Amino acid sequence: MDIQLKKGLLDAIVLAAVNKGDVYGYKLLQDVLAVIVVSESTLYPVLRRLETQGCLTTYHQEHDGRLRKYYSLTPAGKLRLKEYKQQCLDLANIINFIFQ
Amino acid sequence: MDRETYLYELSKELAVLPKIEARQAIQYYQEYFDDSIENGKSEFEVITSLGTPSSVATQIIASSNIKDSQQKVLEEDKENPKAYTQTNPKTKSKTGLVIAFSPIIFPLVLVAYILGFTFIVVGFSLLFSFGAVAVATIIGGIASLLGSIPAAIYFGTWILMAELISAGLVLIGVGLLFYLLTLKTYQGVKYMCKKISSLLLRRKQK
Repeated sequence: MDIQLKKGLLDAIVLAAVNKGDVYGYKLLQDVLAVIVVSESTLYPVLRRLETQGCLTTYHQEHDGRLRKYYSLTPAGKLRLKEYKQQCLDLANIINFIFQ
Repeated sequence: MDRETYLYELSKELAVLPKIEARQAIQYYQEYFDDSIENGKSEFEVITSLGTPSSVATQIIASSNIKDSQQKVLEEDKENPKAYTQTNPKTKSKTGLVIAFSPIIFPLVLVAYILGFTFIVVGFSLLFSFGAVAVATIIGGIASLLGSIPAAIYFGTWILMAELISAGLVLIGVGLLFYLLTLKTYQGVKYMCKKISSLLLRRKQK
């Protein structure tokens, strides 16, 4: 898939994945890899960016004597996800047009 | 390379970032190592699938640069453009909206433009090549017709003349066919250009 397209979709996929429930980095990466092929180092910058933009917040939870960072969706993140969903509908129209 | 060396190399590469940014990234990758190993992977496997510390660092630094420049655009009339580290949440959510529209729509529009451009280029190339073939074969045919008489006189055989005349007629015929094809292609390209431009312009206005 085209790299620019992938980058655009990645944000939407991450937001949608976190929307299914708070999740930690490793699990989130597995969820993302299940739908799109990206290199394993791509996820962190995306998470960090979404966090600085206020779409994600984080908290720590103890697991097996160490801390795990959990990501959860903020209201701004939910709004963003909604916008992405709308854009994906537009995209579906474009795809239909291309295949007609 | 083991895990500790890997993380150490990574932290050295990240030294250009603000300390807190670098520390968060290292913590993320520490946790990633822990979780991967807990899920049955070896340190070696994790390291190979992540790539070199410098490539991982480059991605982190690149994305933090993009963030800087996007916020700088929003803050260009502020006195201190480096204040992005302490921006208040309001500015941040505004940035969020701006970015939300760009990453997915921009590539799509770009692809649409590239596709349109490609169709037009292909159309014009076809037009040009058909036209060139038409002109070349007709000229060749006429040359063959004209050349038949001197050739027959020079070589002294009428069969050669007959051959040249028939070849000339065939070439002119083929040339006329290509001429028709060129006309049709021209109409097609014109129609396509109109369609594509109206489509792209309509998208833009939206």
